[in-house]
Amino acid sequence: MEIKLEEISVVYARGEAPLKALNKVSLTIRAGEAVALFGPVGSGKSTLLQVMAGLLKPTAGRLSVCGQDGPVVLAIQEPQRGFFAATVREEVAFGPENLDLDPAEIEARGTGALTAVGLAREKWEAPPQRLSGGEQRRVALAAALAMKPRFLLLDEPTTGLDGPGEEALRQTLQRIKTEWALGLLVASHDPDFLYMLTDRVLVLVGGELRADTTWGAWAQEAAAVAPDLQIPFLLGLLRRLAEAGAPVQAAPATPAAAWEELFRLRREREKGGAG
Amino acid sequence: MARFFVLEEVSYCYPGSAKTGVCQVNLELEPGTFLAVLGANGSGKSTLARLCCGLLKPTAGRVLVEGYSTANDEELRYIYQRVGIVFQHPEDQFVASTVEREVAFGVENQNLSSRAIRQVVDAELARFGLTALKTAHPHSLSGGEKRFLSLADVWALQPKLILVDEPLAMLDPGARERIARLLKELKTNGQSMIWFTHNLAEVMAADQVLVIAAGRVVWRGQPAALLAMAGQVRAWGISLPPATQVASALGIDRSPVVNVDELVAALWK
Repeated sequence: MEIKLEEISVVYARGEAPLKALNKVSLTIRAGEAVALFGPVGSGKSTLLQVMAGLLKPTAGRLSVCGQDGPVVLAIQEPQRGFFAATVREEVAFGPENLDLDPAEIEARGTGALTAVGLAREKWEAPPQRLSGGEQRRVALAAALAMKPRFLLLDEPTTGLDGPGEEALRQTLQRIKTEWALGLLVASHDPDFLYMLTDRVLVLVGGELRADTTWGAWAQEAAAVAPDLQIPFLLGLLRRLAEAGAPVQAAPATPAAAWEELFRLRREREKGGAG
Repeated sequence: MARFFVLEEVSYCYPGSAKTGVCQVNLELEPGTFLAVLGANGSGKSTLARLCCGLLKPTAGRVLVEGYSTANDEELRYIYQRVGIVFQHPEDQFVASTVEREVAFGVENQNLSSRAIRQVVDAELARFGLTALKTAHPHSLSGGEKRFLSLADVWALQPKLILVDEPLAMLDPGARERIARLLKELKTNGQSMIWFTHNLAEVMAADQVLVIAAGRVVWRGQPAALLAMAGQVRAWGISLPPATQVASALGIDRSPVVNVDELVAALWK
């Protein structure tokens, strides 16, 4: 299954300043990929996700979802504004209920999804409005998973989470990515969160797709393509070390390899210092 | 003259809820100072922010602004003139149907001529880069633009004390720098600020830091001192600057590392 965008443009008419939110964006995402949608605030990330989820009709261009064997689901960004059910369980069951599934299947999907997002069982019968911000994110994620998506789209999922909350979400998404075998597209302006979770990065600036590449390659070309955009901290650090003459690889393929470079340098320096 | 801003043994319990409020907080602020309140989600930060501006009344203790108490309904209007709050979710404060009406809303209650109001509104729209959007609906803006509008709303009122609750949560580095610069301007104007956040990197320039956990003040001091206590800071649910996190993971503990230059120096030079 794949989602294919061909020359997608979206123009918003608003006030005296109509906004070209997307300008001829073309790309393809395949099932099983974990892709980052990276760019500054207002670069068109949310618009692109809404087009992919079929929630917004583009002004021009073609969207095709080929070999459809499951839905494309966009998890809601501000769950506290979207909740309407009396309990977490009912909230998560709402989507599957509209698919006319039998009650046992709805029940099973709810249980599976709530377990996958790691929401404590005693919260399942609570009103979602009464949960903390981090827990509400989990409910919104569970509601999306209960639809058994082939593609899960997330829009700025770390907004409002603190350090431990963000780390817990990253681990949950990593687990879901492997266990649910779904395509993941995560939009964020935070390169460090995206770097740990995704292999491929789409860089969107001012509604235009500026890069479609790996994080390692993006770190090399970012300065020339979009100097205002941050690169993942670890890659920036390795680059600086390499420029200072340290024997490190400046663009390792994975975060694990980046850490290994740093630990190796540290070990070698310590040995050198002792000798 | 009455002290500028004081919290005396302030506590707040949410009615009928086990949710943590805040417990016996003491605090005094001099004019022109920048205080950071650091804490994890759910630590009581937002409750404390609402207590500081009179949106919540303490269940015990007192919040005093130039001698006026938030507990006293007749005195609240004096407090609203002196203390402004920028909420964590910008939409929570929007009331008008266009961007310029939104900025004008508070200013219109200040006994100014319509010309003076116009001037204030235009100046704030320009300051926050919103002039081209003045006829747009506040809810049609992007996340970052909404944040700028929520700041313009409060800026236009020139409060002596501005409270900002996680103001950078939805912004990219460019917008963050712009806001950090604007917030520095406040200080040179003699205005004061309390910045509520879970992210230490945002408030390294603060004059003083107060750490709050489960509704209680658990630490006070200078921001730099927190860098040397990485384990404890993480346990409070506070994010350290990325360079400090990496330094700590690599076992570099000789001196506090805040930025990438110091980290490069510690690893190689």
